[in-house]
Amino acid sequence: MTHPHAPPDPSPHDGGFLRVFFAASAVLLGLLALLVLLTDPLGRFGTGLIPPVVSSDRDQKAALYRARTPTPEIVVLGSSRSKTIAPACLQQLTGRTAFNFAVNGAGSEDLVAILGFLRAQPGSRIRTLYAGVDPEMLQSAGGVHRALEGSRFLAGYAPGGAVPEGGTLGADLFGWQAVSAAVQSIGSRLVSGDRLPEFSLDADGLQHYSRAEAALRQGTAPDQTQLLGSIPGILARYESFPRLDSERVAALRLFATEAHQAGIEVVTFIPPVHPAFERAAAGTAWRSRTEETVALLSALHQERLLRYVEVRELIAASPDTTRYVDAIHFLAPVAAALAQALTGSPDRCALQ
Amino acid sequence: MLFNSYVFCLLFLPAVLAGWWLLPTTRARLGFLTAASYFFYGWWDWRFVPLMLASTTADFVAGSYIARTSDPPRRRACLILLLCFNLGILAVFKYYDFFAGSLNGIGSLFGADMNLPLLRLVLPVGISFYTFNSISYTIDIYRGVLKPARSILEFSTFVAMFPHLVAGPIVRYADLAPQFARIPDRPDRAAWLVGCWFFVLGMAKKVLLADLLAAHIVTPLWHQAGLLDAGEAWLAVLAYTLQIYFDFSGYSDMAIGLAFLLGFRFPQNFDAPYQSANISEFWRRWHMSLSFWLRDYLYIPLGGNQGSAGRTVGNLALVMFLGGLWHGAAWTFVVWGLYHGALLAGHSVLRRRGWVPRGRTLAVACTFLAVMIGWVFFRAATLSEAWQLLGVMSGWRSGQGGNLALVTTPLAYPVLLLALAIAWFIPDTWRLDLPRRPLWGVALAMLFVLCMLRFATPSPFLYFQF
Repeated sequence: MTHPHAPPDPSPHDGGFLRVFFAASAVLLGLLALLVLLTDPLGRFGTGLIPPVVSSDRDQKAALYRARTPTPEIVVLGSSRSKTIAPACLQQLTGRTAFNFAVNGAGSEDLVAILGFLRAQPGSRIRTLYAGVDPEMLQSAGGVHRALEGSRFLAGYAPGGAVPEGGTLGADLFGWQAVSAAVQSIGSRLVSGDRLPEFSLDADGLQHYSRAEAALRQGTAPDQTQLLGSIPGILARYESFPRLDSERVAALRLFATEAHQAGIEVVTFIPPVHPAFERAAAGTAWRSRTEETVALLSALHQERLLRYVEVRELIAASPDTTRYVDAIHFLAPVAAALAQALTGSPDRCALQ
Repeated sequence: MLFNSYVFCLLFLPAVLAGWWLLPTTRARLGFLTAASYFFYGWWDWRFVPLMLASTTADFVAGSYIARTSDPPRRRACLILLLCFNLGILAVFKYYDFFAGSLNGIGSLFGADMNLPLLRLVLPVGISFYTFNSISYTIDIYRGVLKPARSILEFSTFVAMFPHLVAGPIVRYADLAPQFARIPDRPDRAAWLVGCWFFVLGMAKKVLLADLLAAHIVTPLWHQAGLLDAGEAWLAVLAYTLQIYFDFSGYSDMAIGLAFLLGFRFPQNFDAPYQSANISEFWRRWHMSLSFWLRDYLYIPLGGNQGSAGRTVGNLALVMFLGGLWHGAAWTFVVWGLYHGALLAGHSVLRRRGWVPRGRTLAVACTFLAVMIGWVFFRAATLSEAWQLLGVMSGWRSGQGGNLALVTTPLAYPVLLLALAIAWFIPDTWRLDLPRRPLWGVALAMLFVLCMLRFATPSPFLYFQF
């Protein structure tokens, strides 16, 4: 016999404690469920009374993609730097349905995971992937990116990931992602009132910088001081980025190989940056890592696993170069020029 | 199905508790609990359900045969046959590839092409736990200290009971037999109160401490194990030291809590082990059900500490070698076991000569440090990774460094300090004077719901792999 617990002595409070515990648990869970149902931040229930803030964009985009009909033939991949490439623009230039699946802080394993997810969807008919590969996608992150690891829809498709559980009702009602996004949505609504949210997502995955775009429509130029002020911080991030991470390079190769074997065309590019950033980055680690990324993509291009399109100079020469929200995130006019360059279309996208 | 999942907490557990307490007869209740436990087990992989069924049947039949046979050679033969069967299952599923791979490697060192085929079988979840549960049953009957189960249903319930099935505590039939004889008809409020506390506190240990440490410190830093400098290496090992404790003791607390909710009492599995003043005490307070199992079924039969000092050292080394191998079929676990065997033997020798630290604080610190170093072998993917890390930690090698940026949130450090403070200064759950006033029910409910927020990311317990 080892050491089992002695039965606890009864106490007059026990019944009250248990009633309070179970009632409080039920009430708290009910409140959380109500909160999530009211805001529907993951687009699961179709009950959203308040516009959701963009928080866990991987799952939000996965949910939007699954709801998309007809199934897209073109998908844009990449980091936040590719989130403003308009699927409608690509559709106009190519005649094919498109979706933007670029996600915040994407690593190359995100490309593998999203490709796996896209291919696993019923009726999948992906023909072309436009992948914005910025060097930070290939920086060591100590394993799979945490946001991807925490994605219910995508984690299972990451290299070495477990079989996905998909969107369970419990996770959609009580999960941290859903609840925190609901709280943020309500908080944002309470604080900003009728002001536009900073970001918003369209049903085709396109991200809007709502306030910045509204300012542009009103003829107000983006705050150049803020834009230029973001440059030193971004460059500093690269100082602790001494080389491309071998595992992430391998994940990029895996992505290209799997797409190639599936007969899916992959077109890659380095997302353009503001000309002022380009100038400030001369001689920095950012420049070195960017050139290494170009060399890597060019090598994969040589192996015919993907196609690399050089768009940086084209964009730098474009008259729309002031249309950035910060030093590395461009807005619709730049995105339109980029879409034209990627598709090789002689026409210019009319949607801006 | 994980204890820390929505499907378990919101569907499976309420359904099982309702069925268990509402069914009218003991037979029906045991049948229901066994079926539910098989369902729980099959949720992972239904293909292994027949394996557990076969193991259960074999142990029950062998136990009954040994109990009614008075001829010693036949009793011994039956026991040996049963041990071969149980250990054979373990050998095939858990150890075959390890030994075959090792032999192939050794052969190639000497130019011999052994080329033993590898089976690459999936390891059934919890196989080490339920096999040890079953073995102790048959051995106890053989020793004459236990009567066989009254029915195969009762024995099946004992083996499959879902709270302890996949990661312990290692429960002996001797622990549960008297409880099976007096299964309560109605839930006991005091037991339910303690059960709820244990379940939620265990969940908080797992979800709010172990998982946060794992996600923000352990996984990112160990992923770069070859590039860490000394400070980063110590941080990675310290975080893992705390992660494994809160992960496993959290699971044990949840299992014990679930047993309370079903009207059973499970053995204690942890007793604030990082507050131990020597390595021998550590093993009396860490994974206690395994330590006592190894003591009762291996160490004492080998002669324990009753022989010469050399014999005692040999016994400790052998028991800890097997204990290491029980955890996993890899050389890292073997070295971890032998390391602890050496620590235990060293402590035994030092204690006999009176060469042990006098101040408890210093003794606790020394023990903690020694245990921490052991975890390097336990966590490392390979022995060379372990040596590399130990080299950096000891200052013999230098590491590249610059990896602290991988610690993904500043929240990680307060969590680390909180975990350390709990591990060093707070008694284990079963020693706590659990609050019973109704208002505390609200606090516990809030903690429960806070834990549930984190269920969306599946996080298996570390000991499931054993």
